[in-house]
Amino acid sequence: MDKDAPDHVFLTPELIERFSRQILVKDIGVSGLKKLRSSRVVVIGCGATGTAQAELLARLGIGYIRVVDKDYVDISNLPRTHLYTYIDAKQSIPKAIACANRLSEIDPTIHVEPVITRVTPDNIEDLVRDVDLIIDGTDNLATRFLINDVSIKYGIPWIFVGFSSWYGQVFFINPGKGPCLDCIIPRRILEREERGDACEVLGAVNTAIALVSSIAATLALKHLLGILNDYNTLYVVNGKRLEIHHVRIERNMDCPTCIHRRFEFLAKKGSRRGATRICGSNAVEITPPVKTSLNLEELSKRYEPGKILSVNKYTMRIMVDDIVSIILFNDGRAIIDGVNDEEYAWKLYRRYVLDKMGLGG
Amino acid sequence: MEILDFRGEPCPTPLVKTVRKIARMKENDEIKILTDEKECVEYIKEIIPSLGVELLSIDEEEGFWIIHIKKITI
Repeated sequence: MDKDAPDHVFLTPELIERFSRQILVKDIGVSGLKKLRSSRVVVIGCGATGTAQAELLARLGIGYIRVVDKDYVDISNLPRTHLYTYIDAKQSIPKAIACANRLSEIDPTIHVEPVITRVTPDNIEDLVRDVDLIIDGTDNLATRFLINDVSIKYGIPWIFVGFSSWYGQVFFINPGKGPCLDCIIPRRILEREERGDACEVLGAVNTAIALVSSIAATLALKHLLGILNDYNTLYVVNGKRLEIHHVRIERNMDCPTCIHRRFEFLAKKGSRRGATRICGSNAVEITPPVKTSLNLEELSKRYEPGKILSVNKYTMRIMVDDIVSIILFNDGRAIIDGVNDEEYAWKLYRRYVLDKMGLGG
Repeated sequence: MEILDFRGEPCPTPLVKTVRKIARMKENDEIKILTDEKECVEYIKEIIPSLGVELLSIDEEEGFWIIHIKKITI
């Protein structure tokens, strides 16, 4: 028996029956199943690649999966996103909740924890400190550099996953054993993204996403089983020509992050409040000045008939006009959909949310 | 008494087949399982409490084990 197999995962008939095919695989076996069952993973971002990886990891039998996302399910997500349904989109269900619900339906014996939040320097340490592996399901470099900082600081491996159109890249970052993100991606690309030059929507093909996510989940599986030993290979995927190129990457021996341990992205603490344009979509996110807890179903009664397009425990969608709507979360955060102007978004938030709460002043 | 001879079958096959067999047994049915996989002997011992069976004996022979169990609850 594998000496490394955790002994606190107890075999049950259902577990053996569920994984009866998987445990026949020589590299997995019952001891591998026990390792997976005792593993803890966080998926940051429940979009196209995040949900695809989360589904594979849940079906593999990972015992604990935390899923983190700030957004809600939109109908435009459905062609490329695993797990979500038309009903989730019509009800504007938060992605973290919809993702967690589906994973629990797949396997009710695993622990799935949804967290509805934007990942920031203020909260990322609490989100990742107790896991064995961080999965990248994000769509922007700023969050990836933040994940990279926290990964190197705490010695927690993470998997970088990027894609656009038919193409993707996957890289497993194991702190101290291979290059980190700051070794391989020039910061000028991040600076370009932050200036908004890279905010255009690039498009995506769901078959290429599945291919890229499958490579990432394979690396996660091998790592959690203890059989991954290559931390220098960048997998470059051409989903149109169906090619996977292995590109060898070396560490930057002067890397500010993994050599000099300067965690500049993690240091940018200080809650961001106010209105912010959301990269890649015609929307503005409003973070209220103070945190709150709203009973949305009660609040919905204060609006004129027909103004509330959907309401549930987590979100309420308020119609402004034919183009603009407000998705209000139960913590007071809102996404003003159909608006690019931050000042106008604030005005709408004040009129349609704060005034209804009696806080409009 | 039925004898399930899994000798020559690598682990976890004897474990999976044992779990499936026990699920179909009636109260007081007894079986003997023969396996030459030590790892599977340990796993079968581990899973027995959750299967409603009593472990009557485990005997080590030359190169294999005989696990004798009895179904006590359905």
